[in-house]
Amino acid sequence: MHPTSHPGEPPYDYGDLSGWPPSARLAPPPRPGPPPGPPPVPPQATATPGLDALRRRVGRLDRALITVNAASFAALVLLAGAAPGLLAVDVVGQINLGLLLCAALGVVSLCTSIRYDRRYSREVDPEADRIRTRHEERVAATATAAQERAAGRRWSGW
Amino acid sequence: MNRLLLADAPTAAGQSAHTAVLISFLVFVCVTLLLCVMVGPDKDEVADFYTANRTLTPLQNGLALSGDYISAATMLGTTGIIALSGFNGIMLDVSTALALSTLLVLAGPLRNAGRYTLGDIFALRAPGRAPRVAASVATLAVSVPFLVVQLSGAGAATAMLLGLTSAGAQQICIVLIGVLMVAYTLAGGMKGTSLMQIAKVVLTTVTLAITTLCVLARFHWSPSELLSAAAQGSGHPADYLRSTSQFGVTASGPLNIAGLHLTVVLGAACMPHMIMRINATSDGATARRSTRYALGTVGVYSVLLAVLGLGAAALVGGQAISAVNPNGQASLLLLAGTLAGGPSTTAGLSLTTAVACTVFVTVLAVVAGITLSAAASLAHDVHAHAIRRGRLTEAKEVRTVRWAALLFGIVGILLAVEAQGYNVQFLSMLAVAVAASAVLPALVCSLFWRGYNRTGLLWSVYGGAALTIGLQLISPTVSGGPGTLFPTHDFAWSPLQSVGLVSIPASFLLGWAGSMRGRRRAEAGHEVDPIDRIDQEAVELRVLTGADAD
Repeated sequence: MHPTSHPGEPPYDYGDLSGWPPSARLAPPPRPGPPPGPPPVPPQATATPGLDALRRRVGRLDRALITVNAASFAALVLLAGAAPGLLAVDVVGQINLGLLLCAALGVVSLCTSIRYDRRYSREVDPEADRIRTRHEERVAATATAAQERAAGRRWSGW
Repeated sequence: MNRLLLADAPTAAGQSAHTAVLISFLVFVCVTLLLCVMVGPDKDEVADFYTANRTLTPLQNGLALSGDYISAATMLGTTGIIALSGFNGIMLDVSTALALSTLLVLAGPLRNAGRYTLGDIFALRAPGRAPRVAASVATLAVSVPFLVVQLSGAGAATAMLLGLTSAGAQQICIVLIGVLMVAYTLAGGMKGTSLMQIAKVVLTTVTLAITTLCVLARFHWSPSELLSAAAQGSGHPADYLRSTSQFGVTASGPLNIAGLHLTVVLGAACMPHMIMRINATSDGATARRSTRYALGTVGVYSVLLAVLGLGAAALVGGQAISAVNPNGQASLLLLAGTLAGGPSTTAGLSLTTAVACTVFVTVLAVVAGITLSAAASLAHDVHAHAIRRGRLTEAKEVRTVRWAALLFGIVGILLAVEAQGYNVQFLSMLAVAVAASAVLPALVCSLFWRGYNRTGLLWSVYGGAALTIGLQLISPTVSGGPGTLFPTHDFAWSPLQSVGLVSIPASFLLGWAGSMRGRRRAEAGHEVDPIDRIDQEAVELRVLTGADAD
């Protein structure tokens, strides 16, 4: 059964959504082609608590990193194309503004990457771990319930 | 090159240099092959062969990732372009390092969603056989040109380092390097190639750091003095340290140069062998940490290459470098021949031998990584999933990947041998452009867009790859001028040299248009896209948290 299916619902086949089945080395036989007509009704997705907030937090961190790096990079490339004379101004000895900006872009990239990873570890990873653990517990509980129901059906046959 | 490398050395010293280089190569090959056999997979397990059972630590994986990233083309090409073009080359060096920031954003979700190959990630929102085949096509479209350019350059460089100059000797070197590449992949799998990458990064960093110190010492530790000497040595001191509108034969004009930087930043880190390396980490957080370590290592590397490029311009001279190779690929080896007293002294001979070994090990490690990812794609995506629909035992898949590595190696060797005598440097940029146009849009949309479906994926992968290759073939980098693949023919109908400027946005657009069309057809009752059968919530849960991932 798929982890997000409700107890009691039939398992849903998602094709090779997750690649190989981890526990089975031989995959199930191929599904027959879909019948003609309208597409099947989509399964009711179970809303995972906290996933929206996590998505927003990840998006915020990603946007910050991309914006800073892309803006710095675009500014340097634009200056190199539009104002080469400005970048050629010597600042310290033979070291000109262009070389200093190249070095600054490298430093900015390194610093933002370190900050991104640290903030991700602090703000996202613990919440992602919590959601994953809850999800795994729910999957385990669903599997146990299914086993118990199967056992009940076996005894009811007597 | 070798004649110039040993120009100041007596003949006996030149011979001793060749002997030292040959002995070093043989020792290195024996030791690494032995290590590969020892650490290689002892059981026919897919996870062991593809990902070393995800047992590498973040630091080990970060070093291996930076090893995968720093190819021979990067090392020799960047040094050469800095030596010949000055400021423009340094900007390209910065762009190369910056590309890992792109990978940093994708690393965690990629590992959470992925398993072994690109096809596993494409299957996230587009299950079925066609996306698996598309993943393999994209992998080969990037890997084949990249392998050919690496093997071709490596064969020529190795032959020259060994004192052999004939075309036949170069071809024999290509075949030998290709055979070693296949042997490493077959014997070592991911664990063996990772070990090689780590050894390569340590050896390369130490050697290049020592060479850099020698260069700086020659200029009294003064960056200004080095820059001034480099500008004088380049032959065009007035514009060497300023941005110009000509970038060798690769790009001319601000638009093409901007396109070149954009392509490198978006594509260099999205090559299939990099994605496979990310999948060898234990979880998303480890993947991110490894990428951060790789960014730091590549950052150090970029600084070293910049100093060495400037040193080559200052000590060897732009004219001498161009005389050997118009792209400046010989600059690092020529520089090593002029430092520490040259090959006639013990220190100079040691340095020359060490730099030669560095180039050799870089080539071997990178081509082995490329072979592994291409073979894995053929075996896992095409054979196991597209042809056998997942009904393939692990032992048979491992056997298939070994045959695929052999096949890919033979094709690569034959193409590289055939390419001898042609200028195939544009293939390096072509591989990066295909990665930026066909792989990156499909990855970004697969990971972050709920509306992405099979039609969108196929349109963006095939459309992006076809557009890139087509535009590149009719660009001025392939024909119509000196330094191109066909200098005597002219079919450069497009003025665009950096095709990524068009193909990257076009591929994103094709992905969106294809997804819209797929959705409309599904709504109209044609079962084209099984998007409605995908639990998007489950996909998102997996991408963000790694739930249900391996």
